Amino acid sequence: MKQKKNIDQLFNERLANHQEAPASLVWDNIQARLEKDKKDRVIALWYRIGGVAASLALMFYLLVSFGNTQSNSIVEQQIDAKSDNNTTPKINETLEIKLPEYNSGITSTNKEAQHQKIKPQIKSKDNTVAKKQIIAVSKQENTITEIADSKNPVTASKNLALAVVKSKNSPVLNENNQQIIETVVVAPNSDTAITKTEKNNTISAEKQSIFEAIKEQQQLESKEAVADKSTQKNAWEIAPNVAPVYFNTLSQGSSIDASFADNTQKGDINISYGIGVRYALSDRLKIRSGINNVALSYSTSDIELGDGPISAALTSINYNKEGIVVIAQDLGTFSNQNQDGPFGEITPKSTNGEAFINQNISYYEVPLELSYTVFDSAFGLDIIGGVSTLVLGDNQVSVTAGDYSEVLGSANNLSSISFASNIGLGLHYKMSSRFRFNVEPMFKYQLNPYTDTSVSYKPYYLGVYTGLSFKF
Amino acid sequence: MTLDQIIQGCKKKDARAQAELYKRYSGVLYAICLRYSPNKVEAEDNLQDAFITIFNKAMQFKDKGSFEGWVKRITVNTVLQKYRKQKVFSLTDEAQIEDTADQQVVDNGLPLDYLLSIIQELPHRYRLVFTMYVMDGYSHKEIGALLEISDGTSKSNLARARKILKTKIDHYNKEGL
Repeated sequence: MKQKKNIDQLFNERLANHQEAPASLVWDNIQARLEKDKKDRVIALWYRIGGVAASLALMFYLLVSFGNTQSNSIVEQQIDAKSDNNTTPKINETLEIKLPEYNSGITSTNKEAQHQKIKPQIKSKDNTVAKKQIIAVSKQENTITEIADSKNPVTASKNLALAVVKSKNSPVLNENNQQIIETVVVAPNSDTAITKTEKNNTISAEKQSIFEAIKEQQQLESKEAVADKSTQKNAWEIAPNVAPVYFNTLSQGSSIDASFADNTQKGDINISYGIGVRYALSDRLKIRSGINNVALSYSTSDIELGDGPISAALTSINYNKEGIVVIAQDLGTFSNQNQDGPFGEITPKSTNGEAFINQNISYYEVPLELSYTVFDSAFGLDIIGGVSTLVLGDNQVSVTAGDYSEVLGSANNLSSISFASNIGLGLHYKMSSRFRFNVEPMFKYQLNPYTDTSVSYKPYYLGVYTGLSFKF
Repeated sequence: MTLDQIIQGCKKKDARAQAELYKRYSGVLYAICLRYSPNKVEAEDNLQDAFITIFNKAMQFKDKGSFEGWVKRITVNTVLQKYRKQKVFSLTDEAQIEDTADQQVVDNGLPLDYLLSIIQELPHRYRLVFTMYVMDGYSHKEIGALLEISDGTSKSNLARARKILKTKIDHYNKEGL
């Protein structure tokens, strides 16, 4: 049947309600992409966590290196102070020799060899030969020497697998030129100097000297521990933290344009994360600093969007492109436009849903704060106050309406460096003597965020900073 | 699953809800992609992109208005983003407007696949303007804003699209091709 039809009508009738099932491959590809997006998000999250963990690990590393250097120097000083004979310098010098030499020194199971080794070393107690020995070996040999002197050769026998612990403690000579040995760790299933001595029970005095030595050693250790405690107060504290931050204003006004001053504005919740360092000035007073990345954003509604020349656009925005750009204006501006004025050249955009203009800012924040501890038991409470220096990071102004969104450019009225005054509370729970769990609600009021002093927007942000802290 | 359960599920990125949503709307959205794209392969690519956008933006659906309208708009916008920057190489003045609104063609049971294929063969911009105006009810002003062209250019592109389509249909009716 031949029928004449309007071309629009023909296509509209035949195609407007057309439906067709796509190939099954399409859904497979969509699923694969969704899965990949999910993985990418997880990876991005791990990058952030990894960053914080890496900083933490670095701090721990520095801490451990710093701690070791300190304890070595204490040992050396103690040795100097305690010893009256020339054994000490020998030990001091041998402290730095590495463990592999120790192994080579004690692997021999030959009784004769052991004796041969021992003898010259006894003689050479005061000379430089022993300098080449590691402390562990020399101590072990001292043990053997002692037992050998007591005519109990069995003790210096096979499978001597002794390892000396607490290498920072020095052997001390008594009046009879017998060395007081250190605590020794005995490898399982091996015959040892001490057990053999006990078994044979030949010279009880010998045993006594060993136990006395251990006792004395323990006393020395406890003294050292007390000394360590008094010199190390764990004044430093490191505190990685993360916080949801809510951005808003204390006054009416808009940082984007004065025409939006009476529009509805909504602060958004973003994230701040970073790492803090604290130093205890006294039992109650701490000085705090660190670095945080803080993202802030807010949206302004009751606006309309159009396309027009950049000359008619908002002056506080540096557009990413030239020529015709997307223009946001207070709702009703376009309908009341004067055709001869700048808005006459703007074509309103047809968008679905309510239009918003969004400002996203990120700062690198370096706080300098004092905290005062009100009470400090298992749970504690601090009062915190100070200032923050904010270095501008990202700065973006965008518009959204339903499924439409476009980045316009960046705001040109933001200070590259600004300050904020901070006040807040620190709640903490002591998990151990070094670890604390902290929850710190903070109020931060921005002092000079805008280069344009006529901006009446008075922004602040609230954050609940949560994290673990470690004392060292 | 009810539509509301599907929407709420997609907002939570629930895989079952996403599969249901695809099952329910892939037919109608694929048809949109077919008439906005130059061929079947690109139509399938665009359908994938549209669904990814729908799943990623499901949170932004305000539960007001038609969900089907929302997913259709996202699909159209996805395709437009891809082709709107493509220039039409024409020696004639784009702003030159001809009156083609009452072009008549003979319909003696023209197959749907044929009609679809001649739309797909149109230059990108002509295809977008013709489809938006004739089948999806956009005004020239809206088309102009979305494609970043003037109303006049939109009208001119529509006229040229109609002319090309009429020539092809006339030829088909005559030659059976």
